[in-house]
This record gives sequence, structure tokens and C-alpha cells, in this order.
Amino acid sequence: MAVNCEILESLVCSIADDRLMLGHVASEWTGLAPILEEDIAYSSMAQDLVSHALVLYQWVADRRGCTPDDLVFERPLEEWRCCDLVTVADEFDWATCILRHFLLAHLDRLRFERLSSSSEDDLAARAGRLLAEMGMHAEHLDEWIRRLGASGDGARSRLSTGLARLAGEVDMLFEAIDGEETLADDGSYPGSLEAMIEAWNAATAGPLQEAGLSIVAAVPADERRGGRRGAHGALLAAHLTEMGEARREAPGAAW
Amino acid sequence: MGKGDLKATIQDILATILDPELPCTIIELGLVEDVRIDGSDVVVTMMPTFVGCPALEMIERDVTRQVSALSEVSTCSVTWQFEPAWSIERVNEEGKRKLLAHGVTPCNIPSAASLTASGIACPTCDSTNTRMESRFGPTRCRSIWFCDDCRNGFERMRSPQE
Repeated sequence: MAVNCEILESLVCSIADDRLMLGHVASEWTGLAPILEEDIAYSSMAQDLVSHALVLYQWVADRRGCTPDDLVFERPLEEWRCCDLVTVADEFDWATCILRHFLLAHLDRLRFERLSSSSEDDLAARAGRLLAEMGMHAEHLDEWIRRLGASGDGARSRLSTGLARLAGEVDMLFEAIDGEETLADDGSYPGSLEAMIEAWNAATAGPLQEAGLSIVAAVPADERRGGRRGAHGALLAAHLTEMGEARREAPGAAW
Repeated sequence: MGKGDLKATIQDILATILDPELPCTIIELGLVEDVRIDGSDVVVTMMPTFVGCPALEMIERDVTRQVSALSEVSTCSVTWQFEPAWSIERVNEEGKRKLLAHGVTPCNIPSAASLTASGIACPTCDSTNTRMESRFGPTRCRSIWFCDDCRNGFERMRSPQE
């Protein structure tokens, strides 16, 4: 069965968009993380997120005959496919920051697993390579949830407040892009959304339970249109404006 | 110059190109996978340690600049290969010796379960009474460790897939 290129490219963009935007907001923590080692760790993770996005954008750009910069700076807002969870303002609350990243890291592990057995060889190789680097992120974030959850009422209640802030967007992590189900049929994105949600619930439950928290994701209602279908909150536009400032100011400038 | 000679000349050039952050060449670190010559066009296939490593761009620039400076070469490009992935086993003996002298232990963790009770030898005193302080070191391919015997901090170069 022929692979539906346009849908597959949108799917890859949705993963790359999540990673780029999360990397962008994560980089705002550089210099501000709670301890020095974490400042290095979290900045490294932000750097990874942006670089992983680049590896995926490059795959799309090669097929479309454009560049990753074109995809990031020239793509209209309604063609972005990230979820709103990545742009929720964490108000520099560390518990919210870590939780948001934890929720997304576990999703991306599963998305990369699916892509690593894609019938598209180059994409599968890229996803497999990124999956190897991501294990470290998920473990690091799991540890933070456990440590904050075990460290007394203050940290635990801040985790709980953070989760409440994010909870409304959790199902929307799993909003399907238009036509996503056809990618399972053509072998380019094997597996199902339902199985992925089940695996995500199982993977996140351990650390969350230890911290006295719980969240269970479900397939979002079809009427609810979100970022994966181009309906974005106001914050994405603000971030894109900020990211594109230097390019608009000095087109073609290089380091 | 024959094709074999040109390949050897290119290999000699690659063997002088240093990683920007470590005292080793890109050959010693096992970053070079293949050199292909098609007429006067050269493609060097390389493996990134970690895909987000900012040194990759500098290495790519050094390789293309130096190889394309040969009179027999009209173009040189670098292809980054994702699969199979680079791993610490690709560092050669000379690379390992230089890393150790630099205070960086190049090895895999004996088993994933022993992340904290390590078995990793300290590059200063060789004791294995060491522990990991952070997964994330000054660069993505290095984690931060501490030796409880000689009380020195050290780094470990690691594979992305561990």
C-alpha cells in the first residue's frame, strides 16, 4: 500500500513541533533551574529537544525540497501541529515544568518506538536513533517526580497544583492529526492510538503514584479541535513571533 | 594519483582533524564510518555521538574544508548516519588512552542496574568505588562522576543508547 506522504509529513511535523516548542520553553530555564547540576542537565535536554526536532524537520524538508528553517519560520500558524500542552505557561514553577516534560517524554518514547518500525527506512533510522537518546530524558524526569513526591508536603502539593494546571490538556496530547489512522494501515506509523494511550498510562502511572498523583489519558472527543489539527491557543503565535525575530530583523544572517 | 592513493591521503587528513572539545581526532573517536570517492567528488559518512552535539557542525566544516582543498577533489560533503548508531566501542585504543589522560573514562556501564553503585574505574586512582553525580555533563556524550577513594571528580564518555 502506498504511503500517504502528506499525512506522514504532517505527523512527523507534529512530533517535531512538540519537541521544538518544548525545547524553546525549556531553554528559558537555563540559569534558573533549582541546582547547578540540574541547570546543566535541563539545558542539555533543551538542546536535545531542539536538535531532535531538526532531525525530523530535515526529513520533511528533504521530501518537500525546502529547508528546516523554512518549515519553522515560514509555515503558517494553522499548519503547525504541536499540542497546546507544550506552550502552557509554567510561570517558572519547577514542578509544572518537570511534569509537563515528563508527560511529553513518555508520549515521545512511544511515538518514536512506532516510527522506528516505519516502512519508511530513513525515517525509521532517525526515530530509532532519537529513541536511544530519549531514554535518558524519561529516566531523569521520572526521578524528579519521585524525588519531589517523596520530599514532603511542600513539593508534593506543588506537584499536585502543577498537574491540575496541565490536566486539561493531557488528553489533547493524543489528538490525532487528520488521516492519522491511515498511516497504521500503510505501515508508515505502525500501531494504534488506543494501544499507545494504554502504554502511556502504564508508563506514567508508576512515578506519579509514588508521588501520590494520578492522571489517566483517554482519546479526546472529536469535537474538541486542538493543535494537532491546527487550532492553537494564543501562546504558540507569541512564541513563533519571538523565535522569528532575529530572522525578520536580519534576513539571511548567519552565526 | 590513483583512487586508492587518494583515499589514503583523505584518511591521513581525517586522522589530523581534532574534535573541538576533546584531545582526540575524529578517527580516534570512531566518528568516521566511510569515505567514498566518485571521480573527484568525495562523500565522508560520519556518525554523530549525540545528534544535538554542537561540535558536529564544526567537524563537518573542518572535514569539507580540508578534504576539498586537495587538488584532486572538486567537492566534499559529509553525510551523518543515524543507523547503526555511534557507540563508545568505536573509540580506538589511542583515543581511549588520550581520553583517560584527560580525566575522561571511555566505557559503558557494566549493567544498567548499577548506575549508582558503579564498577566504573576512576581515571586518577583506578578505584571502582565511584558513583555517578549527574547523567548530564559538560557535553552530551559525557556524564559526571565522583571517586570516593581519591575524592576526585571525573567524567565518563558514554554511548547514547545506554
